[in-house]
Amino acid sequence: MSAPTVPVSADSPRHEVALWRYAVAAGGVLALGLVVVARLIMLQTGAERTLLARQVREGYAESVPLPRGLIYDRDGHLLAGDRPAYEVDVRLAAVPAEALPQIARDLADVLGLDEGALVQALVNNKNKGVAAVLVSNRVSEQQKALLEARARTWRVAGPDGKPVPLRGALTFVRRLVRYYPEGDFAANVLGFVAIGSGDGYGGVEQYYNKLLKGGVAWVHYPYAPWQQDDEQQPSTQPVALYLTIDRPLQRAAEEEARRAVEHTKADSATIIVADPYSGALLAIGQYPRPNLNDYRAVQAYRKKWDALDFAVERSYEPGSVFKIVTMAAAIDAGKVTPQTVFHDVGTFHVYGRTVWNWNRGAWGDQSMVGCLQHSLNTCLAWVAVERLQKLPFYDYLQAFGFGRPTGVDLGGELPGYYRVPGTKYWSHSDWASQAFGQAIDVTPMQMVAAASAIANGGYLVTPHVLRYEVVNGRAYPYHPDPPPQVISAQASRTMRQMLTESLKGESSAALVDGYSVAGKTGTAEIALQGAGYVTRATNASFVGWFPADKPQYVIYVWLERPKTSIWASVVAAPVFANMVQRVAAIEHVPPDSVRKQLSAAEAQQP
Amino acid sequence: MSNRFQRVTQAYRELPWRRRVRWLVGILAAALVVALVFAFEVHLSAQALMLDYRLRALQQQTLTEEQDIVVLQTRLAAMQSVEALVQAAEAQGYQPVSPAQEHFVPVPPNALPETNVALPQAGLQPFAGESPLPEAYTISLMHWLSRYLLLEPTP
Repeated sequence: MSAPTVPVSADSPRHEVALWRYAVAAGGVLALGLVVVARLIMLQTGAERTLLARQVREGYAESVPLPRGLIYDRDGHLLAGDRPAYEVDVRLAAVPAEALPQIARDLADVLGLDEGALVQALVNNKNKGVAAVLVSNRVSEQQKALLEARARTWRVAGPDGKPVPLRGALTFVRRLVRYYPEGDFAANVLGFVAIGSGDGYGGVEQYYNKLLKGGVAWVHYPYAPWQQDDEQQPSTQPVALYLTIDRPLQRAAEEEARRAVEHTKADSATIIVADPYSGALLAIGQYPRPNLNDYRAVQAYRKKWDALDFAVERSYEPGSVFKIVTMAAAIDAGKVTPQTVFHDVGTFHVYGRTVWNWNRGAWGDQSMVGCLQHSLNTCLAWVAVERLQKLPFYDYLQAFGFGRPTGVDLGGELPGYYRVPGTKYWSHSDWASQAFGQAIDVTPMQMVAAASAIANGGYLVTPHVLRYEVVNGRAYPYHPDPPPQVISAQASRTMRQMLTESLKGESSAALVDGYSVAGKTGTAEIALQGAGYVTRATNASFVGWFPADKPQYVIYVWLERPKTSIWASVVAAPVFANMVQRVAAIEHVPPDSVRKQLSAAEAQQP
Repeated sequence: MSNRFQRVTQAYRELPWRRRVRWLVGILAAALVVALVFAFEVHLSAQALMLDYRLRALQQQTLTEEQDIVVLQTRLAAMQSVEALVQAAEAQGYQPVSPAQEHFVPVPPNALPETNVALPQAGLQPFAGESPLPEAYTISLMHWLSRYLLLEPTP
């Protein structure tokens, strides 16, 4: 039952009580509403609004140290990584002048700096009102720990004259710097990173610098959440490059290069091992080479040699190893066959210039195999000048890639140089000389590319060290352009046989028991300033491959100025043979007899 | 203008008190709702901002840990460098092998065990015929309706 309703007039006391209650409630609601509205107005128009607007518009930026990309060998062994280094600053504003000598003494002691110069620099900057001074930017973790321990012992006079600990005198900023865990291993292939700019110089570090470079990225963080999606956050995962370099083969090549220098007293040695079909560089051994973690040693090395990677950054007259190019061109053009006979009288005259053989001897009738076996300059000059003719000869040089970079992905590659007809200083003498590897500058890498083409059926593959790169978690394999064919497959087969026979014929020191090898020596006199070509200074080279009939490895050896003997057949050929043995052992290449049994068995398989 | 204002105030004065209060409360409530909506928006923005900060802190932590991984990888590589491994091998008495010391044993092809390759053999195309997915995932809605509502027999 509902309560009886009693009519109440507007003037009754009950009505006044109800109105009063409503007024209180309305006032409360009104006050709450006013507070909310006032706060909103403050947020939108007051100081907060101004601050928020600026932050929304500008956000803030933060430095993100990005590690430099990592470099691995073909099997995933890390060759170039990063390690922490610290930038140490002295906060002069927080240090009284009387404490500076103590600080300078400890810094100089731990960091190996000149104490006197450091004290002077700190005092001068303190007097100028400089707030902080950078002392070093490559402080290791151990040095940092030592400095922190020393800093805890520093005392200054307090307000009451008693010594109190000096706090906050040093600041450490952590960042990552390049570190090569293997020291000097593959130093010529990897290159190095400059301390200041963080850019790579030489080798892979230079060629892939843009990809690898980490450094510090300034990341803009907006304050407004709705702007977050528009901001591109940099990838924090370092790029990874996997090289074709094979660590055991690289180690073998470096060891053989060192042994060659020690045995022959050569100035330097370079050994390249490559896959002739893909152009993949499996090893580029070099001796001497610097320890990449010693920046001063690297700089001194570059100053001395004017190069870091001799395989691409230095060019030289290759000498007789170049004869394989001339012969391959003539065979391909059909101008000579292995049976073509050259009658050697010891000299060959070309437009007023006389070409001599290496021993000034006359070898009589020689087949083309004999010309290669005895390395007759006269014969190859005759092949180029009288058989191949001028324009085809230079067309072949062009096709084999001489005079321009091979395109190998190593920094600082030289193009090489040779004079061509129609240019100012070209003469017929150049033509004849170039046929046997003089009057032409080539890099070892160019010779490897040319030899690979002769060995692999005629295709000029691009030498490369990149196997694949991993960017943002995705792997991108190396994809070269299709190689041009510079000689026919038949000419390639013929050259393989000729170079095998010529080595056997001379009982070369490059021969290896159980394995058929093909190749050619090259001894090139070096032209000295003011003295012309002198026989006491030579470049001794050997280029070859094995197995001879089915080439799997092209090996190039270059010894610079060997002293025990100037002849490549004496100093370079044994290095090639050693490398063949080591490659065969490391890569488990069976001897020819076993390989042929396997081939025969495979052929019989239905 | 003053006449109009007087008319409005006069009309308000003459309204019954209930209607006056109802109007007043209605207007205030509407204002409060609007204010609360705006306040809620501000609160949500602030919460989103705080979450954004926390997210960035986590990103920073990830970055730092990725850097630590790189540093540790580099330390590990230094411990496993060629020189270190060669020294360890030599210390254990290992010596480099020459090709003459290796023994290659030719194995006739028919003596080899049959290869058990995980890849499908030629001619077997696993996805060329029936779909590996259950039918429920591939049947169309119309087909399903016609089958289950019209009581078609299931295969």
